[in-house]
Amino acid sequence: MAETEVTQPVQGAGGAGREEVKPVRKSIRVRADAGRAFRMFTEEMDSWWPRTHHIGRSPMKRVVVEGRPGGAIYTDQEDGSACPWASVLAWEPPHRFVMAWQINAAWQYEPDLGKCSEVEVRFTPADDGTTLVELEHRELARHGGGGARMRADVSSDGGWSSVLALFAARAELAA
Amino acid sequence: MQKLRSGPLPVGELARGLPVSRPAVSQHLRVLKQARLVCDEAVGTRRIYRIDPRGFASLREYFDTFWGDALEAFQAKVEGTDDGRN
Repeated sequence: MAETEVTQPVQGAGGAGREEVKPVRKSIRVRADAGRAFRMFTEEMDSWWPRTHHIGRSPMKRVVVEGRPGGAIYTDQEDGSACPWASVLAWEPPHRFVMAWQINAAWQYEPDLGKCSEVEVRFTPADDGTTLVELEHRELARHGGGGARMRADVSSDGGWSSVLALFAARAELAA
Repeated sequence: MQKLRSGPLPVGELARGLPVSRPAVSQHLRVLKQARLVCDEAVGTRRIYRIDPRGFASLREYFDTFWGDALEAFQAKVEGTDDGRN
């Protein structure tokens, strides 16, 4: 079972500094060394990535991770198209990997990294040969209005959608 | 939203530099508030707006569930297909 960090409520406006949306943090221990875990997570992502998760118009064939800083992360689709959806921000095998989550409000590729959240994955080997894999999906607020529309899409609560659609239109006006 | 990411701000400050009128900004903020993406409080005579983390709760929940499932699929693969490389 992957574990979820218990989150604490964010304090009010009293404190200085950035307003935060708490990152999503998950961890899992795997019976593999860090090198293998890192490689499987990154360059062999295709072997485990959920086939339902892509932004292409036709079914996905495979997910490709270019293993280098600045490397593209994309899916190849059955209709022959390629759909970029992330890119490598940090490439430090076998310990650390960071990618930009470049999917915007309309579930389209977002080229502006300033509007993208980040996923960091750390691989920490233990003496017993296992590796602790810790994942942090952070800077969710960078999706801004996009986050709201995404939320409408992922939520079954239709009541929010109209409000959020209105909001999204406004957000684009004000952008 | 971009402006609020660095901290709470009053309406006047939010409107500065935007190509829309201050009433339009206020209207926008009302929609954001309705959607629980921002919240406000009175400080003296001013109304200060800030990002409302509750508005992002469902997005967080979505990623929380997604990464939980994805990590378990990853674990099954990394442990189940060990072919002795490394």
